[in-house]
Amino acid sequence: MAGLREDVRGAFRRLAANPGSSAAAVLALAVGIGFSTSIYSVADALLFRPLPVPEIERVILIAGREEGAARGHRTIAATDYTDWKSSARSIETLAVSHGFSATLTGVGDPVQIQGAWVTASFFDVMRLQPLMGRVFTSEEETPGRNHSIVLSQILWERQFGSDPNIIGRTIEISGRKVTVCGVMPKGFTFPQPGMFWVPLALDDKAWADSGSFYLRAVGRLKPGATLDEARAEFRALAARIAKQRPDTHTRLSAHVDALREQISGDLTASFTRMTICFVLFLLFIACLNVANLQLAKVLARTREMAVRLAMGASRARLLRQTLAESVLTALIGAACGLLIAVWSLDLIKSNMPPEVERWLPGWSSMGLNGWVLFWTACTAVAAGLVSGIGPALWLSRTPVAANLHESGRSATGSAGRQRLRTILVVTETALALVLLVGASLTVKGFRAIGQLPVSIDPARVLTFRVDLPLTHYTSKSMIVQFQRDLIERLRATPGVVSVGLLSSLPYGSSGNNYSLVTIEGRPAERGPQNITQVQVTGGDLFRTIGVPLVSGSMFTGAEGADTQSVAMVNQTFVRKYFDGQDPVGRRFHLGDGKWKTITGVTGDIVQDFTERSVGPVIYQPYQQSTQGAFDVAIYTAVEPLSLVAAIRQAVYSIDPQQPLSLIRSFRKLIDHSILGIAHAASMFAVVGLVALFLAVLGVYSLMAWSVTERTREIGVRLALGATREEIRWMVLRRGGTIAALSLGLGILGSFGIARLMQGLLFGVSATDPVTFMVMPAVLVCVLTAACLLPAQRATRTDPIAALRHE
Amino acid sequence: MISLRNLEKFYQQGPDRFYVLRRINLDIKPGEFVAVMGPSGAGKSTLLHVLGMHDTAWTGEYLFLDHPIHKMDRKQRLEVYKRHFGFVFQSYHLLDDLTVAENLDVPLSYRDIKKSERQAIVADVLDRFQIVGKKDLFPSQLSGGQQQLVGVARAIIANPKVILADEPTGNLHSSQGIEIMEMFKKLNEAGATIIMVTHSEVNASYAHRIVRIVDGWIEQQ
Repeated sequence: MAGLREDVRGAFRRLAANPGSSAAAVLALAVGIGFSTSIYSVADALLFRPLPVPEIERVILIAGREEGAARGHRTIAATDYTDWKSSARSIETLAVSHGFSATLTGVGDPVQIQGAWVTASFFDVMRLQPLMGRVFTSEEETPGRNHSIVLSQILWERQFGSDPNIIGRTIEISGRKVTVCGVMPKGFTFPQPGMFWVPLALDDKAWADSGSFYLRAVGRLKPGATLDEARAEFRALAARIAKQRPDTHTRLSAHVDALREQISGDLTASFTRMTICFVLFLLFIACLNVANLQLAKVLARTREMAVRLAMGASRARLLRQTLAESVLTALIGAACGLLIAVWSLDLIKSNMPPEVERWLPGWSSMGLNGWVLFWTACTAVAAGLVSGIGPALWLSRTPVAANLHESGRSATGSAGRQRLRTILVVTETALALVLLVGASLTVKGFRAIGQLPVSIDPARVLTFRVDLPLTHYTSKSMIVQFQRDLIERLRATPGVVSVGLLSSLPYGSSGNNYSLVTIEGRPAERGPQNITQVQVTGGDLFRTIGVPLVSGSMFTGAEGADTQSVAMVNQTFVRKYFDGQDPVGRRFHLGDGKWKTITGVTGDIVQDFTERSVGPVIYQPYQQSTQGAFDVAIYTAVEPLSLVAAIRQAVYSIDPQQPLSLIRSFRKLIDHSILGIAHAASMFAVVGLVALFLAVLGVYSLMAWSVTERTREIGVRLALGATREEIRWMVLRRGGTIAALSLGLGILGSFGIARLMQGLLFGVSATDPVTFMVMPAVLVCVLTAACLLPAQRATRTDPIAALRHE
Repeated sequence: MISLRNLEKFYQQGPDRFYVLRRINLDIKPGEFVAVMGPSGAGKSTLLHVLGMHDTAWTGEYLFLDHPIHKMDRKQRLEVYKRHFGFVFQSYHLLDDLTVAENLDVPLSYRDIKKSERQAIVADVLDRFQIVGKKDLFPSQLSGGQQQLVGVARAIIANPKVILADEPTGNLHSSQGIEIMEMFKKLNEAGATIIMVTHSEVNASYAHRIVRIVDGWIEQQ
């Protein structure tokens, strides 16, 4: 222990004695470790501890899934819950929830808030004690007794000013009076963006309904039960239920996932993991850079090592001493890296709009905590060992006798060291190219996702969401009347060019509706191949968001409940169900036997950016298929946000209790939906650029060192008649060899990472020829620049001084 | 104390062997002061490093206090070296970033001696070599003679039985050289066995006997 203390003290002293190279090493590692720390914080908040739930690893989500489908989670029926609850042995507690949007009135302006109906067991599954008050009792699951509400800490804080007397207070949610019985602790927002919870009170008929799939199940594994056991058990249960309920559950299986894995969504998890890989790659490059710097110092230290060996030091002791220095360098780098982490986390958090943040559980608690610092320290020690092991092994193998010889020449193995340094530089440069290509592909993918094929500028379209409370809008005609009035009043607002309604705008966060479609003249078939998305639309939607009419005609606006049922479809629908032939005039129904006639075909537009291709979509007029929750799009002749007050006024003039939510331009809506990818792409780009910088630094350092070591040789060559040009080319040739080797390895690695990213990350294309040409060209340019300076210095060598060099 | 039998060292150069030491047979008794002389490149320093076990690539037999060094592995040799040997270099080879006291502490730190005990030993040696006033100075702040004095003090601090010295006065002027040789004489009189490589006949005159090496062969004892 005392020896280790001395090693550390000596390491401090040596670092202080070489401030230049120590600072370079600390800086390189600070960048690598700093970015690692910030991404650990993101991963800790989003993936590892997204909710303040005890033993979160035991909490599982159980969903339905079409047999044979690789992805996708379906909501479940009430009977699934009762069947699973009575049969499943691997779980301790099971609960179901159903998210909904409501209007909170009576507390300032009406606001739209999202919450969930939950069974009383929901809080048992979460094992969370409320911050104040209590959670639900099972009696409150009885219809007529469900008058309680539990608030999230954020709703309590924002809407009720953290009122300490909130418990027992009666509030109005979508026109229904409920009493606050509890407030949950900070950070608990499940199911997202859960701002409140009310008891799920179903009558016996609803509990016996096996055909309505609208519930989400969450459970807690029994102690000792594994996820795999639960998966096997629920698959078996689902198979049994499919046989018992063939009408509703044919081909329906069950899928179990850890809540922690799924809560932030597939994309968040895969992008966060890929970012961790990128950052660790960067850290590895930084380690190679530091190893390279340390190898350059080997010459100065071989004599010291030989003396220490001659004084009786064991080689293991020397190894420890040298590693202590590199680990110390890395720990100092980690301390400096914390500043980079704090800065980058602030940047990431400040760029996250509240509309997106509410969908990311754990985001608000993201920061440097004990776990993150622990992993940072582990990373620093590992980085110190990785960067130091090569030079340390080299130094510990110093031949004693040769280095204590009085001839003045040290046996430092210059050629071997040069080879090793070249390998390190080639490796880090190749890795930098891999990261650059990966970053470029991600950025290009992100930009492609953000470009919708619409004929208008999305920045000129104002969007917002309306969610009409069913307690006030008790009939379809009331909803239709509201929508008709809304379209008319908005059209009449100065600055408005056109207005459209849609169940859910492309890239919007509202869920999409799907239905089985049966084409007239063909047998009705159940199965995923006949599922199509159904949208309800009104006004001049397609003109407003710039989607073209391909054939037929738009809705006239005169459609009604008593007129012929009509629909428009997109081009993919036509290709899928009509082999590309004109479908205008053809009919279909959505499982209810009510035929709808196709009147027009619109262009394709991606609805959900995670879809790898556009799916079939049916558009129905709002007068014939009523939906109380919808998005509104307004094409404006002026700055869209300048119309917000006038639009609020137009809505309030129809219903003063009706709030608007998610007011933003269509451009912002698109940007918000892909913000996670934007963050990842930015991180990848920064990591790629830093990697490039480190690689250039490595090449420059190697070339400069090589020129210094070859000063005598250069002097001799000049004395023998070599021209300055020949000397320059001699140096540049070596740089060229490094660049060629790096490019070869880097391009191979880039193909590998491109294929990997294409499989893991949405929007990334592995075959982008521009990226594969431009990035190597960028690398060649910067490497040439890195070699030019040492080459120029070599040409200025004074042969007489050089020959005195030794 | 030391017995070398048919000891040889060579470098392989293609198909040929280049011999540095040839059939070395040498016996050194406890308490002897032996000078090794010969022209440059004769193999003197190589012999010294073989004796000091820094050089392990040789053939033949090497017995030290009847222990067969040639049969020992690297670790065992290191243990023998740490217990019984000290080394003085021509260029002093003090560690530049350590003070005089810290340089003296280096050999002790490799010998599992407690910190408090090491401090006492260092204080004692500083006193014996009359360099207490210089204990906090760095090597660059000392003259060549003072540096070599510290080098000798460092060599004997772990109380070795054998001191190996490779041209210890080679970088010193004559008065400083005499001072160092007088120190060796005292150490030898106190019981240390000294084996010294030197070009100087004056220094060699301090030895009990002279071993001459030419082209790797011991010429005359």
